[in-house]
Amino acid sequence: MKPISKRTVISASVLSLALLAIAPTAQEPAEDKKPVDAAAKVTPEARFKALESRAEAIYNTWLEGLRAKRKAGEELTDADYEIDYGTLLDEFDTAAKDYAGTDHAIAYLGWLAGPGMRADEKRGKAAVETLFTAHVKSAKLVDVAGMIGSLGYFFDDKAKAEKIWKQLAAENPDVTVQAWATYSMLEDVLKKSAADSEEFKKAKLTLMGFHAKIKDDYLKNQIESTIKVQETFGFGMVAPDITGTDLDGVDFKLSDYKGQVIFLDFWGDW
Amino acid sequence: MKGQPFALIGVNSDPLEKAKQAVIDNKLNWRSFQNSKEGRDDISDDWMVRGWPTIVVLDTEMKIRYRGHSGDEATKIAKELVAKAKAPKNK
Repeated sequence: MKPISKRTVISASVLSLALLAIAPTAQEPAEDKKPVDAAAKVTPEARFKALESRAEAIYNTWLEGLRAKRKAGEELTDADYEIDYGTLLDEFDTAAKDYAGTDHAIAYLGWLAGPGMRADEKRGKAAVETLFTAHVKSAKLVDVAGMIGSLGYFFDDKAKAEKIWKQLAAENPDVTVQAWATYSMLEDVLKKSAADSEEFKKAKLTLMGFHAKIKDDYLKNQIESTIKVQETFGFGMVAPDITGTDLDGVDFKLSDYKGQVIFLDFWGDW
Repeated sequence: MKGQPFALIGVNSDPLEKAKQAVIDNKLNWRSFQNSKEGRDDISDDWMVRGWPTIVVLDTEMKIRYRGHSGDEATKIAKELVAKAKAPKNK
């Protein structure tokens, strides 16, 4: 059994990362194929766009190849799933360093931490680190706000992520960034406290305040559903009974086991 | 955990034949509900399960003590509850 969501969504964490890596944004034709040599002559935006179109062209070619192989019934190896971005990773990296500390660096770092992550995880994680240490106060961070909830996963260090969330919530000027950071901080409170506790009510109030102010539909849904699940199935709530049939076709009820500690496992073999 | 105040119950989302085979292949000795059945909503939908596997631990009063995706954490909480259920009651 793999902890992969079968139906919808596990949480913001791994999935948003996977989506970032799998689906590049706009599919614009790659017009500018010339390597950008000097930062001086082009604007940071144009330089980024040029790199991004080259990356997308490589990605699309890779994807077509993969589909063709699959269609032909060929067996796919691990190597088939690897994308070779050639010198592009270095070029994104160089640009990020050229603009280090300024808002212009954010797009390049975002690429390394997003689509680039699957090609070079080490560099991707370093980019995440830079984004959320050097740019904590930048409103431009909203472009990579989807990563905020996954910081614990990226750093493999919950305490470090919590410190950054706290900073973002207090110091970032963008309300969506603040909302992501606050939600990330309060997710544990929501999941671990009873729905009628003061702690829970306070967290709910805070998050619904953000909910009213932000436009990010994904985060809005996360906030709503986490609260709803918790109010019905949260800590301390009495579980609804289940009346059903076992695998041998015999009817039984969950409440047949009342009086025992019940370990209810939603499982499947896929 | 035989002989303990503990029950492991599954909710299986596979087609019936596949689920039965999994029970045989993995020598599972616990009882499972069929998640989907005609004439009613899926149990997982009623329970708002958003990711698989999801584990819910209930105490002896059927109150929820854990809900999440971590088998280790769920096991730890279940063990504590079993120990508590076995402890002599103070009257």
